[in-house]
Amino acid sequence: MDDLLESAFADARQAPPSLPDGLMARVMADAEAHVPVSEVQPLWRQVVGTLGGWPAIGGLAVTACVGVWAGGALTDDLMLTVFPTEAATLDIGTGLGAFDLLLVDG
Amino acid sequence: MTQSTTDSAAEAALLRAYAAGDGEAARSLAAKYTPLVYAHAVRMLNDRAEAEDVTQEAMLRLWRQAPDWDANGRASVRTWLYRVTANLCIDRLRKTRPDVLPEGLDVVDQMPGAEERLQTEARRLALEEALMQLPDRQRQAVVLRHIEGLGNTEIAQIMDIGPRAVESLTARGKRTLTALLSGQRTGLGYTDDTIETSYG
Repeated sequence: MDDLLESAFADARQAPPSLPDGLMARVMADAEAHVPVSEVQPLWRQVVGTLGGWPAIGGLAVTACVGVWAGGALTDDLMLTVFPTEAATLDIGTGLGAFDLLLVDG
Repeated sequence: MTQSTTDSAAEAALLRAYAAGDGEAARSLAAKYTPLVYAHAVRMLNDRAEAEDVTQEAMLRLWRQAPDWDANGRASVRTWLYRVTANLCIDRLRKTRPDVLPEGLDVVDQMPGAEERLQTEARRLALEEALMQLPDRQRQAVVLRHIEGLGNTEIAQIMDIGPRAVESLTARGKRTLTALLSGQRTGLGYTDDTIETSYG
């Protein structure tokens, strides 16, 4: 009786069920749809993330541009108009020549 | 038919490659395992449409598992897939199994000169029907051992039981199958000659 069963098993082993049409394509479509997002990000993305994202990068860029423009474009007269107190000069007049600066620094 | 540690490590590498976006790695895994998963599901369910759904679901779970796969390569993809597939099949059987034998068996084609094919098909159907009369765990053990050709150690891992329990399940399953098939011996064309041929 064991021979009968072994013979049936042998038949089954020799003829495994064939894959239905389209199954492999569906399995591959699932694989493509579920590719995990890579945990290792490019360096530039890590830098942007560290600085606080794109809004922060935009703010930094605007600030830098204003600074460069101000450094090159603002004249002494304009500085007096916009920042009158900042533009004031200090004249101690001690007659100590170059040692005046020591008095200013304390 | 055991899987070596090297195989497991290579497959772990393929899963890592897939997780990093390598579509070719997924193709390689799918080509190797989709037919195996489908065959196991068919033998567990005796329903090809259900087996197709189970196969797609089991492979989908593999893709989802890829980022968290054992980086040391100790886990076997094959063992993992057999376990997931069997669990999905048993879940479906518990939800839908009627008390009668399942229907939906394939209709045998009527191509000319197909007498031998008809008999082969009849044998296949007889074995599938007999397998479906076994309790789920017995059927799982018998299919894995005697049709898929796995060793008792791997079957024990898949079924989460000890090797002795596997031997017990397969022995009881074979006794029942023998009793079920013996009554159809002549009708299915199993003569002493065919049995000897199968062994050859």
